[in-house]
Amino acid sequence: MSAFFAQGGYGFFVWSAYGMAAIVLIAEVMQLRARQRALLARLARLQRLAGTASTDTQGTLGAAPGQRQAK
Amino acid sequence: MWSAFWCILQRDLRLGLRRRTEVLTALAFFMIVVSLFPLGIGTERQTLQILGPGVVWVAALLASMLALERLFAADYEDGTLEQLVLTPQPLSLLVLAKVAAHWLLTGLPLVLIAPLVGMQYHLTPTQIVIMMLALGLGTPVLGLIGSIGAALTLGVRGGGILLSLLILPLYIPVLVYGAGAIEVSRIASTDAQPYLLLLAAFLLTALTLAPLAGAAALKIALE
Amino acid sequence: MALNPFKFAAPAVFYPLANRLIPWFWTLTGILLALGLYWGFFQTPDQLGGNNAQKEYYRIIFVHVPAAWMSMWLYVIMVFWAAVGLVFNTRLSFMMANAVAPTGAIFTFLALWTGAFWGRPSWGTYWDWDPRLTSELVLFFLYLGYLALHAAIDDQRRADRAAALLAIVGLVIVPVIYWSINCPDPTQCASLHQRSNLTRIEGNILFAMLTMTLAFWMYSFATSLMRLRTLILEREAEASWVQELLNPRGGR
Repeated sequence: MSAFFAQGGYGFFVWSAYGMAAIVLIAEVMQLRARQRALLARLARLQRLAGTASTDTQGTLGAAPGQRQAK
Repeated sequence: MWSAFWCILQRDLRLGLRRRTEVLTALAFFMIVVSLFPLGIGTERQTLQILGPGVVWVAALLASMLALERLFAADYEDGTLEQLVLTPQPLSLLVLAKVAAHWLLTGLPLVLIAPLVGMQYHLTPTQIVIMMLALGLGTPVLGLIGSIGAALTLGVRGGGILLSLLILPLYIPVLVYGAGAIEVSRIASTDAQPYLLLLAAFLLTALTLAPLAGAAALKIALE
Repeated sequence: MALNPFKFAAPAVFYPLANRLIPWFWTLTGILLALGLYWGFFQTPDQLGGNNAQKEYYRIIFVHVPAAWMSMWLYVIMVFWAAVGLVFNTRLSFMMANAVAPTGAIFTFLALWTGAFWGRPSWGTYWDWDPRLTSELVLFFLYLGYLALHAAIDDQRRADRAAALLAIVGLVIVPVIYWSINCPDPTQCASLHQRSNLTRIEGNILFAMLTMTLAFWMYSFATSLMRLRTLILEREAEASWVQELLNPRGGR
């Protein structure tokens, strides 16, 4: 196991490269998910505001979390 | 068709000569940048000879880019540009005329003042001649490529700094061969021939393609 | 039923399709990543090449080469959609170009970063003005320029078209830039990067590298579609199909 992490003494270089790749790619996905979620929440809020007079405000609220699951 | 070209060229030259400070500012900027380098890196003769070609070209790149911001800006603000786009003449020809006038006002002075800079950097007389040739071939290419960027960033907030991000990477080939020509001519002036031929090839390609792209960019900006 | 390619060009049709495709691309990404990493770290020899072999650090190849490939392919894909948008004036194509660009920029950055950590043990330096390194850096600037121009223009239509034109101009000049950096002296050319020849690479290493490349492709599809989905929603927020999507029972 420690031999795996050492990579023949070149662990620093190998893991710096792979580490940055992991960080950047995961960060991109997280950012994308957060952006989509925030957008859906904002749209749902806007629709709720527009439709306060209408009856089904609860249904509007319910639709947003349902959508955000479908990734 | 060419009368429209001459008309725009003359108009832009006259307008530019009326606002002489704008023309001189680019030139002064070029001189200052070039003069600051020896103060920063030391005034040793040999160092300066090595650095000279690159410094001159980087300064020329920056000066040409700074001046570019004004290429379409004044006409854009007072609405002249919209009228130009509506004329029956091909827009690319009008763009070419504007770039030509722009080069005569900001590029040509750089070429003429180059010997002074060459002396500051202890370049040999042959190098100075080659430098003038290279600048004469290269600065129009900078203006032509830059006109696309200037048209794309018209009226955009933070346009100047954005322009540099868009355009400077595209200037690299001119920088490489422009500085290369001066560098190799230290030994024999004939060595610079392939570099100058390449710069001439860039100029011809840019003359045919860049006005088309510039015209398309102007249409997008004014839609 | 004949397949109509323009049917999916409508954002309203494409949005649910993207939603359905994204999980599949993520699944493929996961499988290929796991396989590629496992193969790369446990099924490959400890060194690359015969004489003067590269030691374990060569394993950076499994992320470096795919990232570098992706950075170039994604730029070409971006320009393709930008050109399609300019010619056919389809909204979705511009959004495609826009969705691909950030992922391309990220892979360009990764290619540079991993290259630095590979260059240090093999060449003894993190950075060198080697033609390929420099070209990759220029490619990074081109991506940044595209994104910055698009972000700076408020009018959506103008931003799309201006950035598309810039991307096309960039693609025209890229070969010249690459070549000028490659041959600063037109009479002779030199490069630090060795000529790569895929057939001479050891089989297991090649397998891991290609698997990782496929994984990065799938990752690019997944992230681009995710970004595209968000872009569609942002721009079409007023459209009736979005309203229905948010509120299926049609409250309004």
